[in-house]
Amino acid sequence: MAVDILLSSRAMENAVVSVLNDMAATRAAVIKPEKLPCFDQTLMHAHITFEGQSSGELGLLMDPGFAAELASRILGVDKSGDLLQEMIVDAVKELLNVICGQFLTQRFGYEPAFTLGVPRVFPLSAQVCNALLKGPSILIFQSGDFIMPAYVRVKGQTA
Amino acid sequence: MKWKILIVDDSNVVKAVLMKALGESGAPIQRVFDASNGREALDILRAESIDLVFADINMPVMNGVELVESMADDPALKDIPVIMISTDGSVSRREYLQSKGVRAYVRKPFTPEQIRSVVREVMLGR
Repeated sequence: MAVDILLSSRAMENAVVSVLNDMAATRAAVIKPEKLPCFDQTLMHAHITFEGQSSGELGLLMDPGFAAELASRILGVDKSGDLLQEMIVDAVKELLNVICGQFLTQRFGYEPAFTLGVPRVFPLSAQVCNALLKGPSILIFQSGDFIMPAYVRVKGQTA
Repeated sequence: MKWKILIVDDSNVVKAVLMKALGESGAPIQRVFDASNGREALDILRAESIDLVFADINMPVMNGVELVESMADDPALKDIPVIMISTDGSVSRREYLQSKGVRAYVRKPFTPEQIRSVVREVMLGR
């Protein structure tokens, strides 16, 4: 079981780093959970589910400024301030959708077919974020000054 | 002859990025239509003479697989070239879609070069 969790974490790490690079020309690296700060502002929570050979969920917790920066890079817009909030949310949804697809291929290979749920993005208060991040299966990414926690949970795998 | 292209995706971001890539591809485009799911796409396909369809798989209301199946069953639509653009990496699903007439499959995230190349391959055979 511990091996399964490790494989899922590795696949998630690779998926996040490669998709941020390929889709948003943004470099990110995994950092140690000890470096996770205590958040004091509302974050954007992006969440998606998958079903198939295995089922589970993936999520990203993102500073709204980082989300705007990623959206502007994905859309090739110079200033993130020019983007409507709707487009920023749409970009984060698409980013998570692609990360989920890459995660599934890296974790389970090219043979099984999975059905992805519709990605959802909603605000999460700092208090709830900090509580959520004390749970298992949390990965921490850093890109520039931004810290982006993420998680992957595959049914049947428990920490 | 200039082409009428239909983009079917529930993400406005993907539509915008794809439209930009098509605009930069040098393809002779008359007009780009867009739909947010398979059902909207079928309405457009039955009203307009579309030359090429880009479709996502994972969409609400009617997904890309159901759209391709409906097109394959309709004599008026079955010969319109379809290029799937999806996060889905499953070989079995890709083979099924090809059996239903899908001409090419591009995995997200895509580059403008991939779009230019796949349009040339599907529309011009090179």
